[in-house]
Amino acid sequence: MNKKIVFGNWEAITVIINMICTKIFISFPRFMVEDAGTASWLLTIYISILAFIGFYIISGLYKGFEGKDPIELAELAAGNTGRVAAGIVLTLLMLYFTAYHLRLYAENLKIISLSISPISYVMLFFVTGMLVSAKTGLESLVRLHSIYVPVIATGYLIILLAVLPLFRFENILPVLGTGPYEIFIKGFSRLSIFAELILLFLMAPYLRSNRNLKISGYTALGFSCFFLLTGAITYIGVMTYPVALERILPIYPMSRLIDYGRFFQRIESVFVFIWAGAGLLYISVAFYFCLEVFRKTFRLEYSRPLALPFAAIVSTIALLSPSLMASIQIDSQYFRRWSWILSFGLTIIILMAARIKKSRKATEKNPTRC
Amino acid sequence: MRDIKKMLKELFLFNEPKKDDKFILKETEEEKNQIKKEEIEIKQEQQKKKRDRSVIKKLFDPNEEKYASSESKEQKTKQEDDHSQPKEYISKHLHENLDYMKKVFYVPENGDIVIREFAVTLKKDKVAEAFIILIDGMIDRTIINTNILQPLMLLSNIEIEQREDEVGEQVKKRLLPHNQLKVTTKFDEVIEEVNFGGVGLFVDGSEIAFVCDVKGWEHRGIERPNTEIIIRGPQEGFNEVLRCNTALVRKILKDEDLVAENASLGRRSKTPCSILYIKDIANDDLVKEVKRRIKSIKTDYVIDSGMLEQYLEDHTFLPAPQIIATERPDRVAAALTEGKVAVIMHGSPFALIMPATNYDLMHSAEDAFLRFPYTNFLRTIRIVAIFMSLLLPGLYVAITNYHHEMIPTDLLLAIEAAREKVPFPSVVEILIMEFSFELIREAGIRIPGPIGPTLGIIGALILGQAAVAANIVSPILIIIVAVTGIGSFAIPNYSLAIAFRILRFVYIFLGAISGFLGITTGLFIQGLWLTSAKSFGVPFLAPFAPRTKGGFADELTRAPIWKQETRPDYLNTKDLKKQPKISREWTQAEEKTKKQNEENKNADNSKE
Repeated sequence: MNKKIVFGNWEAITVIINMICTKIFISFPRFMVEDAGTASWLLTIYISILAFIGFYIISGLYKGFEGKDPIELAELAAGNTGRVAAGIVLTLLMLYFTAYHLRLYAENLKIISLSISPISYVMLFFVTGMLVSAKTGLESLVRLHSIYVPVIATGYLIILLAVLPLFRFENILPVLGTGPYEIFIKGFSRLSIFAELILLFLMAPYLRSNRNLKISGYTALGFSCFFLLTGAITYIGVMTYPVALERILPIYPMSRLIDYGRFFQRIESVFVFIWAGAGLLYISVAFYFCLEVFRKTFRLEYSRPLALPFAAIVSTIALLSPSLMASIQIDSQYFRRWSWILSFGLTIIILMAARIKKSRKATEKNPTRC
Repeated sequence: MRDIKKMLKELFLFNEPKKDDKFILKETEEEKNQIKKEEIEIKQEQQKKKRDRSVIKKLFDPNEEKYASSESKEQKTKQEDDHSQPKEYISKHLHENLDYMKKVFYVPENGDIVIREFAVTLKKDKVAEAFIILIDGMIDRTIINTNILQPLMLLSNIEIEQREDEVGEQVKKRLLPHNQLKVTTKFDEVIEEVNFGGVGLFVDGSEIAFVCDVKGWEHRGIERPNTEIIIRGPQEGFNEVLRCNTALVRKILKDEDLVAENASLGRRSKTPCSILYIKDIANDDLVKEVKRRIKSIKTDYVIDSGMLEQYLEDHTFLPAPQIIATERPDRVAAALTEGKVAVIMHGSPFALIMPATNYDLMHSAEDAFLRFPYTNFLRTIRIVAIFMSLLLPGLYVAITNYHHEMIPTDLLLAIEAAREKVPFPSVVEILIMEFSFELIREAGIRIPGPIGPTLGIIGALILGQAAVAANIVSPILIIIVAVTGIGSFAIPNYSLAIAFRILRFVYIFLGAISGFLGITTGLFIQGLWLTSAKSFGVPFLAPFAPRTKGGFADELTRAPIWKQETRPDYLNTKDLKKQPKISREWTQAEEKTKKQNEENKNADNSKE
């Protein structure tokens, strides 16, 4: 039987920060530039505010459902059908998170340092980490986050500070970039950047109370917004707009620009540690929740026997895409535009349905109250 | 082969987790109270049941007591009759006791067992035969002669006005002036004490025996600790004598709440050990758990605390040790005041401190005695040393094979020039050197003292000059291996240093197969391994994973001594406060006097 795991706010915060912010290393700054041009930082602020509003609504709806994750809530709202439906959707979402990032991180590292190695070989390291974390469990994984995420964040900030002398203010002009319509109307769909926030709701049973859920959510969102904003603004400030559009890996070329004398140059390889570390943590958490959601959906006793078959499925899905560009395209055009519907929309719908069901039950029990 | 198959099966196939309740150091008082309540309830229930039984028995059978006493008598007589069975109780007849003791100790085959027979004058007209039994070499002869034999054989003839009627009472109250005297009715207790440097005394006509503590074997004196040498602080180390070691701790902690509970280890060695803790600080559950683990060990012998450590630790395959072994009484005393539990074993100069976290292993005994900036500097050096010892060779292999671009051009050219004539790939080169280094290190420990310098010369020649001259390795690699070696020597914990020596080879392999990605994966897996570990219910990476209070007070870094107000949060001690918020009251006094002076001055001015 699974023993009752409980962990603190700090652990939850670091998990969410890593889940939201790892895309800075992969694609996020370029997505922002593609959409808003030189106003990528403005779009980041805008979607951050939207994320805060979204979380505010969800945490408000969470009152009375302390310690319940979306699957349990779906069961509350629509019985077994609701549980299975929500569970399948969330399992698929987690599968996508895992598979896409597995492919992307493997491709990144292939570009950076393992250019001769086949992609499956590079992926093997991530899959190993993913399987080990599934064996050791969530408790050790979140604890590892609480140590590694501050180190990764520090490394990331060092890169930004090191390239700060190359920052040109004129690069962020015109301030409104591609225009207000592109930023505020079309940009709304980029709320999907925060799609990983759904993991916080999946972690609700481990956080003891709604208060902790709120504290963890707001703090994690605050930190994530800070990191996303600094990433977006530094990227466009250091790279000019046309160059910024061309980069596949936004932070890597930035780190290549670091040059302090003859000795401190070309130290981008050091940041492989940060990238690979962030990637391993991300993939492991997504994979763990993929197993956990599946277990809960079908009321299985253990999730560990699922690890090997699911790892095979994830690896296969990751290798489906013909090239790195194709996978980035899918992510940019579809997933990072519409996944907010699943993470925010679905959660709100489930919560509202559960609330209605709950109030109906209450009135059925005590009809005089209405 | 079967073991390998089993291991592979366990690794790759699903095994249903064992449903054993692992020990977790509980946090709340409520839980403790609940457990206590349950225990009390169980006890009360048991007592009730007993009472009920006895009431019912008495009601229906008034002669029950008589039966019981007759049964015990029967048992005794049975024992007396049957000499081949191990006896439990001491007989009134001296010859039976003597025969039995001879049988137990294999006298006369056993050369070092001494049995001395003599007579004790009890009254003018009454003389009782007696004998003492002891093991030669383990006792103090002078004490036996002056405190036991002389009073019994010679001084018993002196006319004493008041004499006891009972033989045992007479010996105990009037004739035996020895200070550590134990009276027993059981053979087992006599045998146990005699085995551990005691002397057993049997007197004819008495159903009791006397055991006097007269330990007096040869032992090492108190010397400087060999493995934890420091510059500042006490220079005393433990030796192999249990009571000497507990006394060394008590000498530092003059606290009546310091408890040293006795326990015995090993079916044959019966090694005595002491479980030390401070009653009003240490968590009761932790103490209970330590005692439970020690008492549950079933083995023939435990000779050193190194063996005991292996029996007690939570995770056998974890690379890092989960218990601290120390030679220093001051370190034990400091740990006890923090709320930890220590175990000192007879025959071992190393005390065990538990629970231990990863950060405890990085601390040196000197840390507490140095000013806080120095300690922080030294701890930083140690952390760097740990990383160097673990990762440096792996990083070298990774950089030279996968990440050349990060080496500055001049250095790259220098490395390439040095490696030009070396026929091996860098991974083979480093493996040769690391293996040679480990070989020299291992041989250095085993080699007799006078030949030691020779090994140093051979090592320097092989590792330094000859290997480079023969173009087997490049000079830069010598530097890497040397720095790694120095790094591993800077690790304060011996077991941890060995763990890193082993893991270093894993990181070399990972660096060779995929550069920094492999090393990162290794660190990730090692991190998972450590975060999932616990030492006596305390997470191994506490107070950082999980995060608890006081991580920077005296764990990773060290705050000034007057800022260390609380004990480690993760130990859930009974008393969390180590010192008040203002521990240096003189600072306050100065301010107060200043204020008073100012007030006085103002008063004078207003008068003027």
